[in-house]
Amino acid sequence: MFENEETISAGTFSNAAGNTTSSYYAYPSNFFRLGTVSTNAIHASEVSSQKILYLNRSPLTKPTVNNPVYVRHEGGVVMYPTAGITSIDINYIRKPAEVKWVGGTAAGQVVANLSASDYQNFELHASEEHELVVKILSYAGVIIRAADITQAAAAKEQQIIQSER
Amino acid sequence: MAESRKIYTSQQYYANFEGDAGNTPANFKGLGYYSRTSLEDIINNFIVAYIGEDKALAKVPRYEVDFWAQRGMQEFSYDILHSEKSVEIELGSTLQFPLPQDYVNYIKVSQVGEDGKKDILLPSRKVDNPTAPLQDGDHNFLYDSEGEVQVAAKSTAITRFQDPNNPANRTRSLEDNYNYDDDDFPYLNKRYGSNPEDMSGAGTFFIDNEAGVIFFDSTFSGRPDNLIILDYISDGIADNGDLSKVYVPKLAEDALYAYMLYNLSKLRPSTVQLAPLYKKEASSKMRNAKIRLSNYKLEEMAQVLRGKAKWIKH
Repeated sequence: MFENEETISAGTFSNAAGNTTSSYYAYPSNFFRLGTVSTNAIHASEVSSQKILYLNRSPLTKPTVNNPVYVRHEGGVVMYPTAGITSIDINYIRKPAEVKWVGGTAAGQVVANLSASDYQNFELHASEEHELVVKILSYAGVIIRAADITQAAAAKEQQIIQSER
Repeated sequence: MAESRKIYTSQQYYANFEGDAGNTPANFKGLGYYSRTSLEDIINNFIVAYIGEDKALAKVPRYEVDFWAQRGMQEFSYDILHSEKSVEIELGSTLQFPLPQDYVNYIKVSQVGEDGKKDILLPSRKVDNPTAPLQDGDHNFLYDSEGEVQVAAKSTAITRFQDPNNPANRTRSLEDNYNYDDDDFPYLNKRYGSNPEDMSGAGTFFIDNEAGVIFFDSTFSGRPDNLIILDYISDGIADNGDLSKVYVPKLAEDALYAYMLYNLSKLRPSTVQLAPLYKKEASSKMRNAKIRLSNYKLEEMAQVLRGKAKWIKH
């Protein structure tokens, strides 16, 4: 449900000490977990920062534009070879969008304004609706300091867990 | 893109040969491309067919597959593939020329005859090009400013080998040999016990692998037409920056898969038990590939054998 793809252009990364890393491709802001990395429809393999040192010294395994590799780096990846590649395509799992129920109350009920430009519903499968409602109930009980509501929510949650086994 | 199917129309395929630039495809792979496949294709095919869950190899990084594919290409180039390279060089007055950049070993050295056919030259086994330190009048070594021994650009041994004015290198004419009136010619002493290896009038050569130079003897000096052909083998991956341009004959494709499978499996604890089986498979497929690429044709063999059966009259 949250698989995503994005094309990223090359950039640089600078750390607090002032070291700059080139051939750096930063993850998108909604990035959660990395899937595959490719460039020009050629799959890039992941290697460790130690392995790349050996690969670069071996004439038979030195990365080329047609056989690229990448190393994970803070908030992104570094592609090898460092020259000849200008953009990469990454396949990744993104974070769910932040929920925004813009609206107000009607007859004492919170009602979402579905037509608001920044309206954002929960990005969950319909089968998870019950669990979500119970969680909301539990946290609501905590907020209004109603222990019986929290307990009722916890009992319902246990019931859901039991039924799923 | 895989080459296991025709990728050009007939018009596109023949356009380059016919000088039809308009219909020649971009990056045309050349006439006869269908007989070979690229190393890039072989690697991709191998990853698809051999690597994955429930397959021969569970997980292998791409760079490792690349490595063994290229190692296979090197080994196959040495003794299975008929991927000889050849250069035709006009020999200058220095009687030497540098070896090609992708040279690994020579197959044969020959001189082009007037009929365009190759006359095979044989190497001289008794010549060497040793390092020759420079010496002063007292035979002490000479040193440079850093204290290292200075060496001559060319050894005296190879200089004498190539010197056309050296009496020892003079080729005797037929008249010399049978001129009984010329008592200066010591034919009575030298003709008996002579070594046929040293008597070739065609000339000999010597390859200095360390210097990367091939030297020819003084026989070649002054010849009007010194066209030399060097047939040599390379390792097949001189241009490995782009493996899609490294080609393997399709007749050896399966052998290369088997070679890669064996070498990748023998390194992994989970598959090492099957390595002996893969080794046998690789060995037999390599033998098959070698036989296939030997290109034996029944008619050609019959023609050669017919020649052998002739009576030699003398």
